[in-house]
Amino acid sequence: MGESAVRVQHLVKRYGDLVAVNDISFEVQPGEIFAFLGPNGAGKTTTVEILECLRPLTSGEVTVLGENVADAPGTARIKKRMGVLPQDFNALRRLTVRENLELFAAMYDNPASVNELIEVFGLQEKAKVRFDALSGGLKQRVGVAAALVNNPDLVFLDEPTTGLDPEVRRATWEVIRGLRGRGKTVFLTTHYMQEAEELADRIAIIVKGKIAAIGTPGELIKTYGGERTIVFTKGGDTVFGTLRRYFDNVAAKNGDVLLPYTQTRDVEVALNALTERGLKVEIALRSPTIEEVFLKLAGFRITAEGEAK
Amino acid sequence: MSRITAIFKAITRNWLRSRSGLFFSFLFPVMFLLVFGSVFGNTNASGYTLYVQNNDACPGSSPCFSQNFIGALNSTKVVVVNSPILAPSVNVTAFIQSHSRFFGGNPRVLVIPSGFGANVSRGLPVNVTYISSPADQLGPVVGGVISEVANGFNFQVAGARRVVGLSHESSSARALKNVDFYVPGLTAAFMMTNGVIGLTSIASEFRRSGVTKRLSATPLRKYEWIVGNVLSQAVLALLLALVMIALAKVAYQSNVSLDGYTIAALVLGAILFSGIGMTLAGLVKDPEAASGLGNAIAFPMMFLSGTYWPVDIMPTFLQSFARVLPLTYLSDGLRDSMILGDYSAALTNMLVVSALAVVFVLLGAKVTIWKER
Repeated sequence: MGESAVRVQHLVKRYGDLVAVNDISFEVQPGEIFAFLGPNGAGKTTTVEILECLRPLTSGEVTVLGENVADAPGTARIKKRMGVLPQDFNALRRLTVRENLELFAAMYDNPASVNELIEVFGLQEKAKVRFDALSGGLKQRVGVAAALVNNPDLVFLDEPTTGLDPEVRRATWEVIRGLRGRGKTVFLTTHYMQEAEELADRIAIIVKGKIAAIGTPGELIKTYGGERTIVFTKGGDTVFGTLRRYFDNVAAKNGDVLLPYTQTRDVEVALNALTERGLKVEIALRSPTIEEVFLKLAGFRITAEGEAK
Repeated sequence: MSRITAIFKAITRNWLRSRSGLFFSFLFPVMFLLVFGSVFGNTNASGYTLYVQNNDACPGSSPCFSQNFIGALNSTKVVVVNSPILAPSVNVTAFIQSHSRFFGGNPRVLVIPSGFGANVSRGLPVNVTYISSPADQLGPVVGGVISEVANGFNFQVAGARRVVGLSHESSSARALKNVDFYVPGLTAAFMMTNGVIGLTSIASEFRRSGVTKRLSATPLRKYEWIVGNVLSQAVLALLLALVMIALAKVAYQSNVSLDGYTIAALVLGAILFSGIGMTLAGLVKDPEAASGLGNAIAFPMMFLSGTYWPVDIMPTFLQSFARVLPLTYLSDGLRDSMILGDYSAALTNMLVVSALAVVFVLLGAKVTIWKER
């Protein structure tokens, strides 16, 4: 392909006086899972809907699959090649799963096989069930199937697991990983840290309409996550006293001894010191997560409901 | 085209699977037709009820003039003498008091005096007494019939013959019944409620639940979405008309017909009311408010557009109001083509419907959101 799947330059979206998206730029490469991570109201859905050609932009330049979203023929071509799972996906209530998928398939010139989608998503038993009789997780699965009905090159998933219970959420993650396996580019928005960390090749952290940081989960953690820590489980005063001679920053907490470190050399020094004194301890290495990255960048955490805390 | 077909099929199926949709688009109009057909459908056939008190004693051998008078009243077909006739012992004033009803008004009573037969046979003058309420609009009509029967007796006794006779012909080629009036009226009225209430609430629900937005993210064009919805309403309207006509024919031997003009009128009407439904759904965001507004518009329109009674019997200010209601033109147009066979009048009415249809479909398209702001 060569071209970026999505290319956004200096995108701004205003609603009256409110600036929902404030001069953001990023690119999404073909074949990657790219996540927009941020709380409700950060501008995630606004950005996605601009990329999906469902909302006009105020200023900036946005190309999706090489087409300009601001121009009508470009929009028509993008719509043929993209798949969309909106927040709170709904289909026609009184039509069955199969009838709904057939409806979406009929919107395209060369749709995928509805039978195959039903099989891939394990919907065989639900194919004749009306949409309004499905659980939230199944509705979402139908939504993902509908997003793939045109064999899209690029799939937008707007909060794909919000409101789902943990088990269904994990199952949905498997489905999303499968999309990468099939060569699709995935643009995902979420307010779940773990979801972004587990799924995304790259994450953009979006706060108040601006991108605070962008990179692979590893890069973000390395840059913004702070130090890693050795935990000496139930180390007690002896361990603390010993390590204190070598390290100023050692700390005790609930009987555990915590030693933040930046180089592997520090781990060796600590372990040698303890071995010399014949102290046997259980250790664990703790790395920072995206959650700590987010806290550092945004200055707040996100609740399970997606609100800033 | 295939996208329009797919939308049309999906929307129609979704509608027909809704219990309330089915009830309001088919069962409800059928109930109305049955109720109106049964209450008002046959009033012309049965004639006007008249109570008779006969105080005349009949001699066994000679002809009984009072009995003959009653028989002559019945044979007019306009008046039906209530059976049994009131006994001489009945107090007529008390009878009228106790039989006054809300809708029928006071009963009409004819009192034949004692000695009626004896006086008639001798050619002596004698009066029958007719009592009716001043509020009874048909009272004088029945009085006229009684007087005409009495004149027949006078001719007979005097041995005179009629010089001027009456030959009565029907004004229209088809014999119309009240139920014929209700079939096009109710069909039009319920096409209107399907569009203005049904489509309004469904379309705004599609919008709230995100179905419209999800479809707008596919190659589906806005006009295809609108045409699919309008087609669905048109097919529902034709189905409704077929059900109403079949029912009217089977249950009331109605003479309504379904011809090409009528089908065209039904389709135009469906386009008009889907346009109004789409417009309301586009203007009001909340589905409940939208369906409330739909009801607030539909019900007055239904009662003021000549569905249940002719517009001509309403006060003048309501008549001029009816003239601005779209339903009036569809009801009249359907009546012109379905029962009167007056196609030039139908054309005039349908031109108004077509013009309104264009306006509202364009308005509906304008306010239907395909791209957010």
